[in-house]
Amino acid sequence: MDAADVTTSTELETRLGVIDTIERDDPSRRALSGADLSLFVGVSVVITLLGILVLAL
Amino acid sequence: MTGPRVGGARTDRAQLNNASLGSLPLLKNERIWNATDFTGVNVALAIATWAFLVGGFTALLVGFQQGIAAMIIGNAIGLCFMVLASVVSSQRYGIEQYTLLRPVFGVVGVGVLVFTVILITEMGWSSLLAIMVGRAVTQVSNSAFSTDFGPESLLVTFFALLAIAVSWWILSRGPVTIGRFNKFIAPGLLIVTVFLMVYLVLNTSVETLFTAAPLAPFEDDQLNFMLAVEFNAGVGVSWYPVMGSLARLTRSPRAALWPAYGGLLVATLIAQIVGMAAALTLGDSDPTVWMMPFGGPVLGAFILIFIAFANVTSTSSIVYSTVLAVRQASGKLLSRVRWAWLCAGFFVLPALLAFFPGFMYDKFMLFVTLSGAFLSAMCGAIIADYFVLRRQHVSLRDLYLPGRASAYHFNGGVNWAGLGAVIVGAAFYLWIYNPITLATHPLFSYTTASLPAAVVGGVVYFVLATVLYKRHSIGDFVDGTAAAGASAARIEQA
Repeated sequence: MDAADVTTSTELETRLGVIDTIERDDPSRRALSGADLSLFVGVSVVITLLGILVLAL
Repeated sequence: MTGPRVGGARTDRAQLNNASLGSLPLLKNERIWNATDFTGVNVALAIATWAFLVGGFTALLVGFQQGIAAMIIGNAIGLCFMVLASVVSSQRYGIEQYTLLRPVFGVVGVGVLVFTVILITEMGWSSLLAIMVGRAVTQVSNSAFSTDFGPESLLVTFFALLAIAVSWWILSRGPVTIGRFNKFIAPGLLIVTVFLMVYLVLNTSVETLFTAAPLAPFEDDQLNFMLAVEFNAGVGVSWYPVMGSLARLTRSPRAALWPAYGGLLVATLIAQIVGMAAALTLGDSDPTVWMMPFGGPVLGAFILIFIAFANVTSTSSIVYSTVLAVRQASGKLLSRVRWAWLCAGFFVLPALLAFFPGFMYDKFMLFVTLSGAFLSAMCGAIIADYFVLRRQHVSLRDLYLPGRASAYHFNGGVNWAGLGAVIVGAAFYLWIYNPITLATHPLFSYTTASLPAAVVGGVVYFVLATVLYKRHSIGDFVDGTAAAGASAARIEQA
């Protein structure tokens, strides 16, 4: 392990520590909600149907 | 392509540079893009010459109305699972997609995919953009100096090689230089798109556009339409290699999800539809042929030279994240190789392909659909892993732990469920639609090939991962936590 590896390893540990403690419940690290996921897939389906509608016109 | 297309978005250069250079997880203060910023980045990314090219090639198969429908359907499908596979997890954990692939494929498995699927995909796009530069310069030469260089002449190869050399130079200078060039390119391409739109509105009637015949269709109309849909789905999913690197810089799930999907979809559709209209109007699918008739000798030449320059910076952009991924995936093997040499190594194959400019243009659709077969299956496996088996929980520490110390080591660094899913999913794609022989299964007319390949990839992954690993408590499928957790035993081993 050279100096660069040590620096990276230390930096990684610092970041993991911050994420685990300070940012653990931060909105930026929130999982995508089921509602958002459903809405996203639903919108994609609607846009696909819109394409089919364009074809049918 | 971390941070190359930053024109219009609010960025802090130092933050962006630091953030984009490593694979470490970003912290809150380093995630600098809100929804508006990220929308701007995606719009700038999508309004590129490749969108004109895709529009032109779609016109080979179908007319205007069918083309619009094919573009909407294809991009909606391809972008949907591409965004779910790359953007969501990268945003949550602040990590680019290749590190986040380790739970799905294992660290060695990621290397296998990066050195095959990802590398070949990006090399193909790079050579195509370089050849487009050669063709653009040839058009300018023929117009300005009354030369008669053909689209496959040696001059095309010469300027394609020159474009590769300049791309390498920009790339070797790092992401800040790439971002600096793209600040001018993105708005410029927007102006070119608007210029083409205005010209088309002024010189072509709506009726002419809607009645224009496709340029080189096959006999079967339904096959033509579905090929156009599949081609566009392949284009949508081909954003995968770059999107995670960008999404990690966003501040919230919503700031990543909708701008990625909406920005890419809307901007791509506009540029592609303009490209298709131009191709149908002039009867040629090559964007470099359109500019002289549209702009005249002076403006046309100026636009072509601009497009040539835009292609050079686009090439630098797409190659950047790929070379980073190659360096990471190689472990210690390439970690000591100088960045400039690594970039030069990437360009060897595109440079060889530049000697066959006709071949690359002729095989453009084949290349997009074939790479789409593998990327679709990959996306299916990634979605099944992240959303179904892990419920959006990945152990950050295990992503970085070496060898057996990591929960994602699996067998010799390979998650065989992931690689098996990609192979089976891609094989299923080729069974439904073989882009080489154009043989299709009846299912292709209703489902495309990308969507079923992604579904099969996901199902195969779910079954194999459950049987091979989850049941034996391998791979941290049950105990993963959202933050930095890893078992004390594994940390001890590390």
